[in-house]
Amino acid sequence: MSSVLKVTNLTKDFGGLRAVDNISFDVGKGEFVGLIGPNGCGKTTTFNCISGLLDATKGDVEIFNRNSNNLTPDKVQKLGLTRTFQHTRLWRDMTSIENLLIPPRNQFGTNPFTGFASFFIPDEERLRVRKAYQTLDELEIRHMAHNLTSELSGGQSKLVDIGRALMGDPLLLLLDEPVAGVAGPLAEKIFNNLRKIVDDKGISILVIEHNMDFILRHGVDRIVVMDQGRVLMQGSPDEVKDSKEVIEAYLGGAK
Amino acid sequence: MQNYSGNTVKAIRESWNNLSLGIKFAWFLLVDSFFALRLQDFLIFNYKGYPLSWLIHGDSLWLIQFFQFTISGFYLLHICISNLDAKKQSVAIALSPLAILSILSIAFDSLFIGKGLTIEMSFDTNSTMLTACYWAAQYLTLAIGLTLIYKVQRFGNFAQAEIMLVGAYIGVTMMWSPYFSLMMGGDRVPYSSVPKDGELTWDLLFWACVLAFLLTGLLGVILDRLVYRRFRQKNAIPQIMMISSLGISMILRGILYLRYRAVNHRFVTDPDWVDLREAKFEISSRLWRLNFGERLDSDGTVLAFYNTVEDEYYLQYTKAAMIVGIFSIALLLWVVLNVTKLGRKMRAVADNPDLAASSGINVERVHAQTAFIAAGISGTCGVLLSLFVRVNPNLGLSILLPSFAVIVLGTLGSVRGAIIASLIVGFIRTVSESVLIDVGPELGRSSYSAFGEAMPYLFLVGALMTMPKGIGNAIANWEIERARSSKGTIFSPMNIFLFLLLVFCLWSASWFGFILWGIIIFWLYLFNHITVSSSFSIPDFKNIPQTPYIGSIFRNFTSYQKGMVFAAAALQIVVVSFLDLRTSGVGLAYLLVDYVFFFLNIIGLIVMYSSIASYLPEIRKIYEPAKSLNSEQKVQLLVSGFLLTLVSFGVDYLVAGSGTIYLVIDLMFLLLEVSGILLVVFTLFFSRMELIGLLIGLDRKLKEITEIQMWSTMVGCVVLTAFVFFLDEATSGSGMIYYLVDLFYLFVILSAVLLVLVITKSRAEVSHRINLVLATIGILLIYCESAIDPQSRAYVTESAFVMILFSFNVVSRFVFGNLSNLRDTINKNLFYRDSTAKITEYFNLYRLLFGIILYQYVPFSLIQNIGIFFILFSFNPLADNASKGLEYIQRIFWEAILPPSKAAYGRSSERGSWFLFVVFFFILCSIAWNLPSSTSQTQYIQITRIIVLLCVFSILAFSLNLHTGLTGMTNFGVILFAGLGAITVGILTVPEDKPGGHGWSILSATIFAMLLSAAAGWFLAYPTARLRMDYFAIVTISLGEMLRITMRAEPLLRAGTTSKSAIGVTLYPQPFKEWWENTFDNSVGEYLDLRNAEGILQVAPYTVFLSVLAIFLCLAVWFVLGLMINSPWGRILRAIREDEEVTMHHGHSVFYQKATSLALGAAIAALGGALWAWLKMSILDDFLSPVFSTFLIWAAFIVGGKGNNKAMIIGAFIIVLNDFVFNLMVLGRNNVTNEFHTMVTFVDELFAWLILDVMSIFMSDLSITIVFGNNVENVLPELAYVKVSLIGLVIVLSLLFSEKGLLPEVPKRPEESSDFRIDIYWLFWTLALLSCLVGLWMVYKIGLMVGIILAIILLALVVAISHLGQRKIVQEGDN
Repeated sequence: MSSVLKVTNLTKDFGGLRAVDNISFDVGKGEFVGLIGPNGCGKTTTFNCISGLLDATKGDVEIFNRNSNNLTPDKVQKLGLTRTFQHTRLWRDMTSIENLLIPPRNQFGTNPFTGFASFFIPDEERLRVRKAYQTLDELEIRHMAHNLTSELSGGQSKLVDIGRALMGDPLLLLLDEPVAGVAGPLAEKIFNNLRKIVDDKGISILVIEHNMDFILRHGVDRIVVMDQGRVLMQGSPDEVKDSKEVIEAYLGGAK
Repeated sequence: MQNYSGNTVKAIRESWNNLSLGIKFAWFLLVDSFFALRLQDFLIFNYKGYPLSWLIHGDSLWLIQFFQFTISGFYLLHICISNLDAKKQSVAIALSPLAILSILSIAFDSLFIGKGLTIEMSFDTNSTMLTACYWAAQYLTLAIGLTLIYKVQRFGNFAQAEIMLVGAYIGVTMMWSPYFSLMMGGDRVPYSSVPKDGELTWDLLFWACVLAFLLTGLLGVILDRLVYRRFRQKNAIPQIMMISSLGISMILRGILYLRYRAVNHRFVTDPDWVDLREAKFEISSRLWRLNFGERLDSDGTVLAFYNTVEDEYYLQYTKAAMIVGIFSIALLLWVVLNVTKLGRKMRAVADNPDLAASSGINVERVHAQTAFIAAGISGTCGVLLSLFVRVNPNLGLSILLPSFAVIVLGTLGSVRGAIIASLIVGFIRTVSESVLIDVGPELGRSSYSAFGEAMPYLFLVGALMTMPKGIGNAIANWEIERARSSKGTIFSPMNIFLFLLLVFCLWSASWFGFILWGIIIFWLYLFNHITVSSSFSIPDFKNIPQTPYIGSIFRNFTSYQKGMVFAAAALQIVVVSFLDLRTSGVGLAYLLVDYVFFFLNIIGLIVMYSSIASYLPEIRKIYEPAKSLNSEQKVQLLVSGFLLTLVSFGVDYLVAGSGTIYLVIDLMFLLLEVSGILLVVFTLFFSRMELIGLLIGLDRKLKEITEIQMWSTMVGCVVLTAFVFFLDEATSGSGMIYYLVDLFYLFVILSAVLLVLVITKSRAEVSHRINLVLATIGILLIYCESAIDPQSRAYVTESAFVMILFSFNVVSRFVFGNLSNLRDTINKNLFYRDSTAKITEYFNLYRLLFGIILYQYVPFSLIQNIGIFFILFSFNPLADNASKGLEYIQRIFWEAILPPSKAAYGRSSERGSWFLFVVFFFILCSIAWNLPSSTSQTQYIQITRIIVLLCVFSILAFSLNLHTGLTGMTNFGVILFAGLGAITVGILTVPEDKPGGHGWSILSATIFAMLLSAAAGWFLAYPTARLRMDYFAIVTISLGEMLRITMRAEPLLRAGTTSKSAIGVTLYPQPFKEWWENTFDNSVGEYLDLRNAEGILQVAPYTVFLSVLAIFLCLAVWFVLGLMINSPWGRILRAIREDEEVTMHHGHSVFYQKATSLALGAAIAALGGALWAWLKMSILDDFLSPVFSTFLIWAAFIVGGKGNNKAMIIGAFIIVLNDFVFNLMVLGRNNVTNEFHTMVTFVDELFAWLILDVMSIFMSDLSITIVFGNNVENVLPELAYVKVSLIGLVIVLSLLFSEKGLLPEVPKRPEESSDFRIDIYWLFWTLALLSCLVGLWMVYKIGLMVGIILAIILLALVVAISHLGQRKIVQEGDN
């Protein structure tokens, strides 16, 4: 199995603080990987380094065998990666459906001239709109399509965020706590849906999740556990469940 | 170790090959422009016959060469700095002004040599320093208040300028008031006409400052409560608050104009001050002359690069008072922010309001306090400013814009940064003004001194490239870096000492001082590296930068060889310099020789430096044994160092004479002295551990003492210091013995040092009992008061004593505690509480009070009715029900006209928006049509002018909407692009036989102007795309100002008039004018039935045609732009507006999209500017003033509704109509039959009542007669300023009550459609046909080639687009 994301010796310092300390892991094609760890262990910083928001202090990130160091986020997205943010950041003064229409790749009309011309070729846009409505259907929020996203509830925002990420047809999807604040059954459904996407379309997903029990129950292929900026261990859910170190890291404060 | 010597050339070549293309190109441009400047006849790249010579020739040629040189130089400098690592970068940035200066001087020198000119630039040291301080003070007047507001409330407050002016006018009004001198015990006359008595008094100044502080502070609080607090409660973004402050500033400026007219007034605190010839300091100074260009005197003797002579400088008292006052206010604010509890609260609120609120800080109160202090400081600074600068209501804006640039430069919200930045900008402005005054006339540009005004902006744009967050941020970062490497702050005693030494050296132009300074810096640098990298143990010299290649060779030499090389290099420099001096002359040969010498000198310097650097191991050998000395030996070493210096200095002093032999002896002594000083420095450094030990011992002692001991030590120290001072005073005299006694006292004053130590040790203890800030102010007041104001009756002493009294916290706590107890008791009273709660539940007291005041005290029935309205609506249930009813009616209305699913969206649905647009447009049209006019001819002229202006404003508002409403970049530089378009079109279309004209056709000139403007917009994205919204706003407004100043100064931007002094483009060929006058004007005149006052039929004026053209252009822009922003592109822009980062993460380049948006908007604005210019027929520099354009367009944008192009038309219509209504009101003032007559009469009477009956309660008669004259009939408002106020009011109100504007943005809600037919292709083919027709028409109009090319391009575009679209649809279908 070829790896779609390969992180090698990644290190990130903020001034004197070492947020991520020499971590290495990879995500294979069609793999559903969970990244877990206690608060402040550097999960989101790792995401930021991968997606090009932050420049790593040291180390390499390879996405589809292309080195993505020093690439800006939009260039990284062009490689086939899409990510979400922990705190849902939607475009707030736009409707949900509009939010979903921005990420699709290779849109026609993304500069003034082609934009002008795209008026005369409306079918492209119609296909896009149809796909967006289908995505909303899958997430069961079609009724919110015409609302501004600033009017949505927290859970609905999360759903629009996931829908927006899927609209970009990513080959590698980085989700930062996608179901935090989403009601139980729906969260289950989302995870099952993700699993289905991985299996059907063969894309890879790396997901940050806080709730360890939750992620253990939902059929991820592999789990990477981080603690204090380092990778504590990697392995299948069963291995992680039985690992002493992981339990210590999670319950360390209780001792 | 590898020997590099053989590979040096190869290595250099390799590193050259490794450079990026951009850098190579920059080097190429640099070298090319250098030779081009230097040898004006023989040019390599831009020689006179190069391809663009038909466009660039004459004066613009050397201008471009000059800019090519400086810009490529700056670019290389920028690359150099950004490639260094963090530590070296901060040093490099600190030194970059030197590099910039040298780039500029090389450019000047080369230019003048090329032109064969000799230029002498002269700088008076004291004059330069003090003028720099003066400019800095002027910038600081506003910058302090702006910074404070920015720090806490996080928005740029435009109204600060007008608040400052209010302060200034408070001072002026007090000066006119007869009561003040009565209060001071004199006669009842205005203070300015008190007879001269030869003594300067400061009473009026003092009390004017106090009163201005209080009153403007109050004004600030009121504005904060009325406006800004509401925005804070709504969590409005800073942009909204910034624009509302713009509205407030317009209101205030209008009011100030109405009250004080546009006349200059100066604040004279005492008639004795007026006589400026006597009231001034005389300072001896030095004049530096720099010689550029051909440095040859007329009789063939060589002139040096510089020479100095003695000079005198006069500083007026008023100017000095202004400088000292403003700077001390700034410093005081800095202290307050950093020391006091209030300052801590402010910083907490600035950092995180929510967190501050949760930790028990009353955030709203802190905001109010901030508003008070910021406004109060600005008011006080206004008083101080008006001491020297004549104030008029226009002054505010002219200081505001540079002040904005200064605070951005110094990092928004950093007081320290603002002070430093203002000093830097002041200095640069002073220097550049004197340079431009010397240089300008020689280059045929005597108006160039105007560029001094542009310096803040120029510097801002430059500095933001290197320090994107300003100076204050750079310093803060540097300090953090240093703190991290535990080197303390940069304000260490050593650094301050070094800085003072440098200032002294500059002041006295002493070379010895410079050398000493360099030596100290060198040693400090050495020590720093030793101490940091090895923590006092083993010195490590690795961090000393070495010259590559050479350094490594040197390292292999023996110390003897090194010494020889060093000596040889020094000798080489001396000999070469000597030769250089001897052989200087003129001509190419000399030039070459000069370069050879220069080269040799540089090599000598490098060799010298490298040999010193490679000496370091030897220095380590000295250092190691010296470190192990015991303390006694160290002291001996120290003393011997002192002695060596002293003795050699003494002997030197004794043997001073002249002649070569003395010179040699002098040099020897110098060497001895330097070695003595070095010895002293060295040993001090070695024995620092002992010194620290001493201090630590003292510290430990101080920690152990009890409280009683502490206080007694303090008192003892105070008494001892005072006693010593007393003794010193008593025994002062002259003679050697006195000096000794003095020296003794100096040692005794150590007790003062001890006092300070004790206080710092037990600071919490002291500050618990005494408020040090108040105490210091009080003591300073007492001290200064006796020094400056012997005859004062101004109660300065009394207030100082009150301050000292209140500085004892026991007293203040007692007083304020009792007061608050009283308040609490009242509040706790049940009856009182219940009744107030009931009343406030039913009544809004402020509204009630306001209504009663209006009803009771205003003798106008209209306003009384408004008062009744307020009184009614102060009854809360009524107001609530009324607003509910209004909402209900709205809902019913929308449900009636919209489909049920859309009814909830109301105005922000597609159909609702169109409906309202039509309604508003119809109403405004009918108003425009019914505006009174005497004849049908004038009516048509009026309407066509309205139409053209409406189209101009709409087009400019479209551009603003694209930049700000859609892309989210707060663009305050609309007029920049519009002006660019107007000026370019003007210069290009003016016939060639007129001065400055190029004779292009109008169409090609307009297209060129749009392209030029678009290019400018695109390049603007490079420095600004990453800037925050407020930085962008200030950069754009600064660029607009720069264009305005350039237009005033640069002769190339003038066209149309023969007179050389005329500014601007004074002749505009209008499109199709001749064609119109030859064909249609008669018949259209007949058709429209245009008749003049005598009833004779007139031809239709050209504006009729222009209005048709304008409508066509406006509709075309609206249509094309509409299609563009409804496409995916527009959607991406809106996404960028909402969140740049996320948009980037979804695959859209923010830089590229911002650049396209800027370019397109700029092109549109250029078209609008050109259209405006065709209407105005001439463009002067005030066309570019933001007051007449940018701010009005912003008003249209805000009133209409951002993000909606339909709203832009409505907003523009309102603004344009407002303008015309006021123009007509002016006409109606004396014309009884005019429809506006009653309205004008009403306004006039109201104004007269306000001035004569209301304001005279607290303002003197003189303040009215001096402005309006003695005749009561003349108390009339200037309606133009009523208009300004009204526009400001409209901006504020629409932001407060309908933030989204009349027609809000319509969010896109695309429906899912099931059919995929290619059904609009007929439109596409129509377009293709149309483009062919356009091409043909162009062939007919502007020539075969251009037309055919354009047609082909258009066709190719359409075909390519259709092809692409087809392919994509096929692809999508496959998926």
